[in-house]
Amino acid sequence: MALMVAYSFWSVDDNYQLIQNGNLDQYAKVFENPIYLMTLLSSVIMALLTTIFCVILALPLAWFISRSVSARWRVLFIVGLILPGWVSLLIRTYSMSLVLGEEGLLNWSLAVAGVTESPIQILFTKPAVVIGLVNIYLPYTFVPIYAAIEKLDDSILEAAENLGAGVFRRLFKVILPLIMPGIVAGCIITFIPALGEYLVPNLLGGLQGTMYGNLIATAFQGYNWPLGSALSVVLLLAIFGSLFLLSRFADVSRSLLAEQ
Amino acid sequence: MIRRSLLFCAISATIGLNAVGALTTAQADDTIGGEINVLSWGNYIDFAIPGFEKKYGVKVNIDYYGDEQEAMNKIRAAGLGTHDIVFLGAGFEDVALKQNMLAALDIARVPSFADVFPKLKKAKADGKYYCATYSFGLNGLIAYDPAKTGGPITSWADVYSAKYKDRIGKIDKSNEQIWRTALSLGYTYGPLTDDQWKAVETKLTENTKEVRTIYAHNDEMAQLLANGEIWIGDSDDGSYRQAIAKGLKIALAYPTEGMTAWYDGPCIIAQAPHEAAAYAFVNYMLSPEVQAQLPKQLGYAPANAKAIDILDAKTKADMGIDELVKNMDKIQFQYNLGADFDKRAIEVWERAKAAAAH
Repeated sequence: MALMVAYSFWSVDDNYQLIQNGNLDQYAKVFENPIYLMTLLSSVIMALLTTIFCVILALPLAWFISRSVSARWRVLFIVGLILPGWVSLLIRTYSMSLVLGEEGLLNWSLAVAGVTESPIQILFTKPAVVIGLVNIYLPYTFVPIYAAIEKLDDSILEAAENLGAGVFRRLFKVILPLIMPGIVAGCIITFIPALGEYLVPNLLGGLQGTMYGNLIATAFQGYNWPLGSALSVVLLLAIFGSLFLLSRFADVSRSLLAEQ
Repeated sequence: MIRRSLLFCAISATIGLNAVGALTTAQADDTIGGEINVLSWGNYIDFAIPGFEKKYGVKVNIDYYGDEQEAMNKIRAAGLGTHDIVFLGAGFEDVALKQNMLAALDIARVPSFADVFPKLKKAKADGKYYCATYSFGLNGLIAYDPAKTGGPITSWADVYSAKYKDRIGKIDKSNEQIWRTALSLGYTYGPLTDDQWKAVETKLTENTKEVRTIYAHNDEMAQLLANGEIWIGDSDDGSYRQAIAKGLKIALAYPTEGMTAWYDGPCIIAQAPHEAAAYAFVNYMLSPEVQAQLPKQLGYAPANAKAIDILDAKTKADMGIDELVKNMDKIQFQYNLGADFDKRAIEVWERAKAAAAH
């Protein structure tokens, strides 16, 4: 990390030699060139959407597995959800390109169902990136939420019901506040890696779905390590900024320690 | 009797010594012995090593690198006088030269060099040769699916005619994009003026708006063409040949506007500790017997013209060798234009992509 920060203050001469001159040139490039900040903003939005969809899917799934599935089958459900994570990220992302392509499973299903007459172009768009990221990160969001739901004390829910709280009141006033640390932890471990993603936007995003991670990769591939480092430092600051913002609304440290 | 015996012994000894001498001379024709330390790309020269070791009795110690920057770091870290040979492309040959890492090649000690295609012999500004060409390949080519395009593609003007909007794929490499565009504008490979940069950026931005996707490696081009996501894609000759070998029904166009090419080969490192073995190694790598194996081993065309004569007709046809030789005059070979050029190329390409995406 220290090396990355140090590189960000250096530069490269015309012979690809590293000049350890200590200046802010790389940061000036990052902030003067609108592409970098625009792409960072667009990446934040895609990572946020990924996190939101992951939470929306993980919450009912975790509730269902925790509350409606017998203990005997529960392990199978959880392993079934986590199992794809044991397959290489590259293979999972390539597989998703086969699902989203014009001749892919999704377009085939839509055509068979009579919803579309001609294939729709989903691959190489921002939605394709978000779908790919949700596919990758859903298990990461699921695990802390499931752990929080498992820890829920049934007597508290019964007390709320006995005191006349309806389904929605119990959900918003009792359940969600109690499992909030799990949700926040799930959001953090989804949002942070999603923001710096390189592979998924590379394979599914095309031109439209370029993310900030792709710009960092381009800088390093072009032997411009100082610029790549400066871009990485800015990404790190953006992550710290996001955590700071989140801490205004939730107890981040309690969430990361998995306390209820 | 004694005198006769002595005479017989003397004659026998003379004949014996002569025979041993003759045998020793026969064995010493090629034998150099010892070892040689070579820096090479992975799985690049390995097929030729057993033959070299057998012929010259030299043990080859290979140190692999992932990219040329790593190779140069290894030379620097070990110090001159450690490695004998490094394989470098034209770009890094210049960088290594500026850093005094290479020794000039004495062409008289590399007989195979005479048979290398003249276009692939690159003397430096001082008139000397430093790296010999072992392999070369063409960038800036067009792979396309003739069934989808409805006819042949011959030029960049054909590709970016708005007819194939959203059916084109581009390689996500800034330098390649700059040169595909610059050649289509009629420029020659070399430093660009500010006006030329401006014209390249304008044209590249226009072109990129017609593009459906970009890909990091040319291998992905084959997959995108196969599943119909794109009909036309940036390609190099090696990736096209691999796609054809896998049974893909695609065609290759050598754009009429011209194309760039890379070349790569062995360079003798300054203060090489095993110079004689190093020269034998360079000569062997350029020899027709090794060069004729390149198409099958690596998918590259030989750099040695004599190797083409010993290729079988099928290999020649599969590799498109005749077509390649026919287009040789349209090739502009890449060389290093400096880190500042590369940085500007990245900026221009990033701006073109952003303009097309937003």
